[in-house]
Amino acid sequence: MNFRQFAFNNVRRNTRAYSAYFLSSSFAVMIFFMYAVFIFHPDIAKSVGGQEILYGMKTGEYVVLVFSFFFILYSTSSFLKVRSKELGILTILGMQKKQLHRLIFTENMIIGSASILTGMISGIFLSKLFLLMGAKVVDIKELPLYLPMKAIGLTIVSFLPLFIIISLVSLFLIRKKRALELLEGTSKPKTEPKVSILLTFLSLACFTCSTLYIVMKSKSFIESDILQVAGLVCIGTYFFFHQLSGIGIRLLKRSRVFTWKGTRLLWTSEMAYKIKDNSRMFFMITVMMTGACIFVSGFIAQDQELKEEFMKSNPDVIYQTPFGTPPESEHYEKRKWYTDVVRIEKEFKNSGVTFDKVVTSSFPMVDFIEQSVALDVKSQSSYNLGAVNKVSLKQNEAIMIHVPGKNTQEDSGKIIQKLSLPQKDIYLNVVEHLGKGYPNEVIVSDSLYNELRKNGISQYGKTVGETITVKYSIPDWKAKSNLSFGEPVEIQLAKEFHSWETSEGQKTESFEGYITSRAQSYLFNKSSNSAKMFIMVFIAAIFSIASASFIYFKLYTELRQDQRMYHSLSKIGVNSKEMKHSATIQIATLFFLPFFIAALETIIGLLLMKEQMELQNVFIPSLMGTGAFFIAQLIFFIIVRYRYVQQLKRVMV
Amino acid sequence: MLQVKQLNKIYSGKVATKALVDINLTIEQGEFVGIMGPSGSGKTTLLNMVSTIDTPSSGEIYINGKSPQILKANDLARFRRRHLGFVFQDFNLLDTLTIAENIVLPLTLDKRGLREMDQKLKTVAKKLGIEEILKKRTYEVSGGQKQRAAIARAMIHSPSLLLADEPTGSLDSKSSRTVMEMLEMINQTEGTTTMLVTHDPLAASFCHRVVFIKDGQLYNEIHRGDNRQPFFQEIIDMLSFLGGNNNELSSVRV
Repeated sequence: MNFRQFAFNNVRRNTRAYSAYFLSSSFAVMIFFMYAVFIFHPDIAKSVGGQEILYGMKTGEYVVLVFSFFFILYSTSSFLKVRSKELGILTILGMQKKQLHRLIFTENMIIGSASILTGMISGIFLSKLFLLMGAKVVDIKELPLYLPMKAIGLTIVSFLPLFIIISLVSLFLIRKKRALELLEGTSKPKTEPKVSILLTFLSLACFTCSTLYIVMKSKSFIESDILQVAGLVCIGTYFFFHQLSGIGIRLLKRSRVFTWKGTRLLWTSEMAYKIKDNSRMFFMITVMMTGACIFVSGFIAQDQELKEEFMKSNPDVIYQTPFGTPPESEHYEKRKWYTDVVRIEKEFKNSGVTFDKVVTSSFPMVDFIEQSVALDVKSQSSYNLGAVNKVSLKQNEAIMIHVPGKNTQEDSGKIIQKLSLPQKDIYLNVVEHLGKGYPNEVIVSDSLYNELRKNGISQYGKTVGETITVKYSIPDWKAKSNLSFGEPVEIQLAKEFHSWETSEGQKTESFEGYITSRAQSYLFNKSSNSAKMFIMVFIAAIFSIASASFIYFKLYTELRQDQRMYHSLSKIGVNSKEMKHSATIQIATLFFLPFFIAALETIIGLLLMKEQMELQNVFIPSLMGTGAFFIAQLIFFIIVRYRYVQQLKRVMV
Repeated sequence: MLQVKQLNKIYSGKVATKALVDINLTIEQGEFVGIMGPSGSGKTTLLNMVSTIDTPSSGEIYINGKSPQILKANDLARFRRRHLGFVFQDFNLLDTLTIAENIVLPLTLDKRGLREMDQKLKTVAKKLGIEEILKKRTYEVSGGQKQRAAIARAMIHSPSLLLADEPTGSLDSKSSRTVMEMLEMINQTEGTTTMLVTHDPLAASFCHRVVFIKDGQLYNEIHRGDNRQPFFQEIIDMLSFLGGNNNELSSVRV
């Protein structure tokens, strides 16, 4: 038996001990690989909106890689802890440091290569499912499975160095330990958790500061402030877990009426130590979960608000001619674009939709706001044609109309109060805002409209035509406003119109203008949102699974200790039921304590920051977001608890 | 008090091992009995059978006239914590609890009242002389103190049978003597029936009667007279007899 064989047999014959480490590594590889398969899929880049999704997926890929590094490193170190006795025996038998390092390195590399292989093989099978789901999100036909050579390459290139680095780092973990320390391993007596008033205070101060920071700066909150707040919350969370055990044990000790009853005496004291031992892990999990929860909840809130906006907005279908249509609109029946209108109306009739038609004209004005948002300028009389509430404006007054959607400009939250063309000496006061969201149209008095048009003409140096807008109001659609349920006619028609505009219109140039409608922008938003959702759900799922396996690893390292304890306890008369009760409470604490802190931080954080994030209602969405995580945690908890109790039951006499 | 009838234990495996063969043993109420024998003789197996944490292959055990073997696992645990007291070689105290908490553990598991627990704790701690260390943690006290705490835990619910497995095994001679004196004192004042498994002839010399086991069979038993010193000598003679070759020794002795 040479050295390599020894290492190999070590791994092969001790499958049970290695399996958790191996499985978690394979899992990380698998997720990474599946992402890669999707990224390199030849059909994705070609599809509409594919680029945007690819961008998101690539970011996800980085996150997965960074996360895998820490995850595998953590697994390695806890795994080495489990095996420290074995390493101690080898040292006593006379194994040199160098040989020991080589053994660990070789073992790690064997497991690493095996998990890369397993991860990729299982990844190929699961990819089919992944591609199916992905195709649904991108809204194209089912993607065919291909031989992902590039993905295989990327996975190997990313993970092989990762395992080498981790194997080297893990050597540092056992570097200075002497044989005795290795032999004793984790069986040293634990010291009592200490309480530091200063650190407790620091933790509270951090939380208070971050809250105050958000509240005080509510008006001038910018993105870089988030980093400071996050930093403060992180420090606060760290010391919270660091100090909590000490405070907890003190408080519990005071109440003997509570503690000295049934199994409470067992689990309260055990728990205090577990929290202390795992404070760093708790901290990591909490931070990770808070981040994921805030993203998911914020996203749900945004999505909901957008949907509500759409429900409230007008279900009109608007046809617009291209910019620069000659202004002689009186005889529009003879114009080329009129064929488009005829076609639309025919489609309406075929679908049995009745409509009211209003034809107006407007022209775009680029320079009105400094940020060069193109605003459509419309005359008062034109607006009144189709409006229920007629307006009458004075010379320097204007009304601004917003359409649903997120404003990309910095000042999106603030409402533009003034419009100006300084070079022409025109300053307007916006007297009224209609709708919410993106500024789209400005209504001015008829005389000003004409004046502005002339200005516009001179500005571009040539004749600028108007845009003819044909607005179809469909009263039926106003009553039925649920777009997300089933596929109403409104959506069907929007899809039909969209296909004219894109494929057919481009090919034959038979379709000249543009159609906008509520359903269409709804569809557009939905597809871009569901792509984001897809990525987010995956990243969140990875975080959730990773945190669960963190906890599982932690438990596994302490399993032998717990087994010894419960074995001797069962001799003096602790039965399986009591053991189960006490173990369940402990495992539940490991799973749900970080979760509840993360949920609390999420809900409070979102409630405080909702103005900065331009959200109206965050409470229900944050409950939904954290609720999803809760369900995931619950499932993991049930599985892990079952396995752990099963292991403990073996030692009960 | 304790009756063991025709007890057999066979560990089946690739090679079946007869750990105990036809053991018959009776311990009277209030008796202090030691079990001795070379390593692998089956004394710990016997103790495990009596303490209900292992089941015999055949034969019967009666504690107070009742057979615990018919109980289910959960009831068995309850039986142990109400009727039996355990003292182990490695103490088996929980690091995470204080000495006082360790001692009252069997009572808290039974959900007794706080006042009752406090009163019993006070009594038993006074008796064993460990009142000062009650608030300390296990790593802050000496081995002898730990074992006394373990005895206190075994005694706090006044068990009908106290089982001690090598209680002096990891103690120095002075602590061993103290611990054995404590056990003897408890046996005398409380009248607790005690069964002690040990290697240590000094520890065994505190018993009323010592039973020797060899290769899973009862070999001999000797009774203590009024004086401990000659009893100690007798035990040592018996041990050397057991350890050496039968024929050689017997010729010298007789």
